[in-house]
Amino acid sequence: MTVTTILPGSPGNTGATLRRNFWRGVGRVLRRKPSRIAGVGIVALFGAMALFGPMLYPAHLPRDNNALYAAPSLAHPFGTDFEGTDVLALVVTGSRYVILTGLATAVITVALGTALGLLAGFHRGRWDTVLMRITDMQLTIPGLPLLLVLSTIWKFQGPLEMGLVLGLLGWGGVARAVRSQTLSLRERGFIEAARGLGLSTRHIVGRELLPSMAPYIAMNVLIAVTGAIYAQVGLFFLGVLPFDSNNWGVMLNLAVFGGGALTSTAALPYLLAPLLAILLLTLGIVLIVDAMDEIFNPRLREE
Amino acid sequence: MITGTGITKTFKQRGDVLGGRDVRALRGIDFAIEKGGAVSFIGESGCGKTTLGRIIAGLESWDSGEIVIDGTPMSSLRPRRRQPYFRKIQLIHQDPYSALNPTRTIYQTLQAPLALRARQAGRPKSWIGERAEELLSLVGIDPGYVLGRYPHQLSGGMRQRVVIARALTVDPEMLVADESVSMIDVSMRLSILALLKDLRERLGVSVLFITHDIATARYIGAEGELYVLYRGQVVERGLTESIITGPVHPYTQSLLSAIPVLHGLEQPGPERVVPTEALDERHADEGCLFARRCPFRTERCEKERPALVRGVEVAHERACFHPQRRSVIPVEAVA
Repeated sequence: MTVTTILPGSPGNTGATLRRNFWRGVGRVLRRKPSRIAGVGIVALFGAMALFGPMLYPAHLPRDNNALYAAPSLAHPFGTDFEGTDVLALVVTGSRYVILTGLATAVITVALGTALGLLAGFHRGRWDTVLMRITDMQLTIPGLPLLLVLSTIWKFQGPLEMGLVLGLLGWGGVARAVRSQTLSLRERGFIEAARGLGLSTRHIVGRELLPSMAPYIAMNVLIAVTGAIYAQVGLFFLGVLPFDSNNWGVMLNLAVFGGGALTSTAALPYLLAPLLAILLLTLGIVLIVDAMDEIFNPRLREE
Repeated sequence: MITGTGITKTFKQRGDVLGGRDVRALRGIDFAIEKGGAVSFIGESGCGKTTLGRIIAGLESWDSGEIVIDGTPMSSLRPRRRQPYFRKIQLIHQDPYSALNPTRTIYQTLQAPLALRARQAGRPKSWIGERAEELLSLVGIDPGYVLGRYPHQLSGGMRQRVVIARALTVDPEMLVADESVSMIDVSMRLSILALLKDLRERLGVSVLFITHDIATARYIGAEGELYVLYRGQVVERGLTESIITGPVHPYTQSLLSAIPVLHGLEQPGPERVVPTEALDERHADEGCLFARRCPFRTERCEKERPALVRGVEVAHERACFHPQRRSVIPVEAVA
C-alpha cells in the first residue's frame, strides 16, 4: 500500500497529496494491462492529430492533376483522391472536425444526463415525475429521421453545432441510468449520515454521490464520443449534410459515390483510410473504458 | 433532554389499485431521555425500535405526537428549522460498511462536518485538522494511521470507531446506537460498547441504545432505563436492572426466556414463557397486541388494550392486565 500518511496539522496539504495520489493511481491502473497503454497511445495520437494536425498542412491542400486516385506510395501512403490530394493529409486535417464533434456531444450528453438524473433521483417526488416524463419523451424521438429533417432547414456550420444537436438527442439514456444509481445510493448510510450532520445538498450531491458514479459517468463520456463519431460520419456518408468542410464522413461519401470504391479498386485506399481511422479511434477508446472502474474505485486503484 | 409524547407512524404499503395494507410501526409512544442518560429500546425485529430511533435522530418524519428537544417543541418549527435541533442527536448506523463513503478518505469524511463547524464558530482552518486528530484519539484509534486511508483499508471495528468520531464532530448531546455492534466481530463488540459507555461518562453524551440483545442493553447502562417495544407499543418500561431481574409482562418474559443457555453451566429459567404462536402482523389490532400469542390471555385481554401504568408488584411500568413475576432468565445449574 502506498497511501501516504498525512502529516498532522497540515490540512492544506491534504488536497494536493490526495490529488497526486489519484494521478499516481491512474498511472498504475493504466500500466496494469498493455491493452490500456495501447488505448492511451491511440487516443493520444488522435488527440494530437486533432490539435496540431491542421497546422502541419496548408489551408488548401495541394492538388496534383497527374496523380488522380494514385495507388499508395511513399509520397502518398494511402494514395490520393479524385483531385490528386494526399489521403493521409485529408485524414489528419479531417480529424479535428470529427473529434471536436465527438467531444461536444459527449460533454452535452453526459452533463445534461447526469444533472437531470441526479436532480430527479435525489429529490424524487414531483421533480422526478416531471423530469422522467421529459426523458421518456426524449427517448422516443427518433434521431436519424429528425436529423434528416433538420438538415433541410439548418446547415450545420461547425462541429460544435453538430455536437449540440447530437448531444440533445442522446442524453435520455444517461439520465435514466444516473437516476437509478442515485436512487440506490441515496439510501446508503453515508448519505443519511451526511444529512444528519447538516451538510449542504451541494456537498452531498457533489462530494458524496457524484464520486461513486464517476466510473459510470466517465465510461459514458467515452462511449458517447464513439457514438457521436459514428452518427456524424454516417450523416456525412449519406450525403445528408452539406459538406463545405473536410472530414472523414465526407471522404467516405466521395470515395463510394464519387470514386466508385465499392466497384473498382482505384479508390479503395481512399475509402479504407478514414474507415481505418474511425476503427482505430474506437478501439483506443474501448481499450481505455476498461480501466475506468479501477481508476475511480479506490479499492481497485491501489496495488 | 429529549421527550416524546404519543409518537405514531404508519407506513403505507403500496398494494394494487384497491389500496395497500398500512403498517402501523409506532402506536403512540412516550419517551424521555435525560441529558447524559442511557436508555435502551429492546424488542424483536419489526417492533418499531429502529423507526423510533430514526425519528429521534431526525431522519424520519412522524405522523402525530410531539417531540421536544431542550424545551423546543418540534411541531412548532418548519422541517427546515428543526435541523439544528436534530443535529444534536446523531445516529450510529448498524452497518459500518455502508456508513462510510468508500470514495473518501477518513480525513475527508471528518473534514466536511468539521469545516462546517469551523465556519459557524469562526475557527481557523488549522483547527479542523487538529480536531479530527483529537476525535480519532478520543475513539481510540491512531490518527496517523487512519487519516489518509480509505474505509476499505480498515477493519469493521475501526470503521465503527470512525463512524462514532464523525458523529462527535458536531458535538452531539445524544448518540443513537442502532444495533451498532450487531455487525461487528464478536471479539470487537465489547470494546465498542465500552467506548460508548466511556463517551457517556466522560463527555456526558446521552446514549440511546437500540438492540434485540438484552445483555448489551444491560452493559451500556445498568442504571439506565429500558423500554420494551412490541408492535409499535411500549409494553414495559423502567430501570434496566428492575426489568431484567423482575419482568412482569409476558412478552418481556418471552424475550428473556429466549436467551441462549450455556449448557452444563446454566439451565433455562423454571418458569420460561414461550409464545403460543409465531408473530404475525395481521393479528387483530384489538385488545392487547400480544394477546394472540400470550399463554396467559383472558377474555379481557382480547377486548381491551391495557395501559402502561406503574405496577404494585414491581417498581416499573407495564402494560398488562395480569402482570406477574416469573423466573425466566437462565439460572446456574446445580451440580
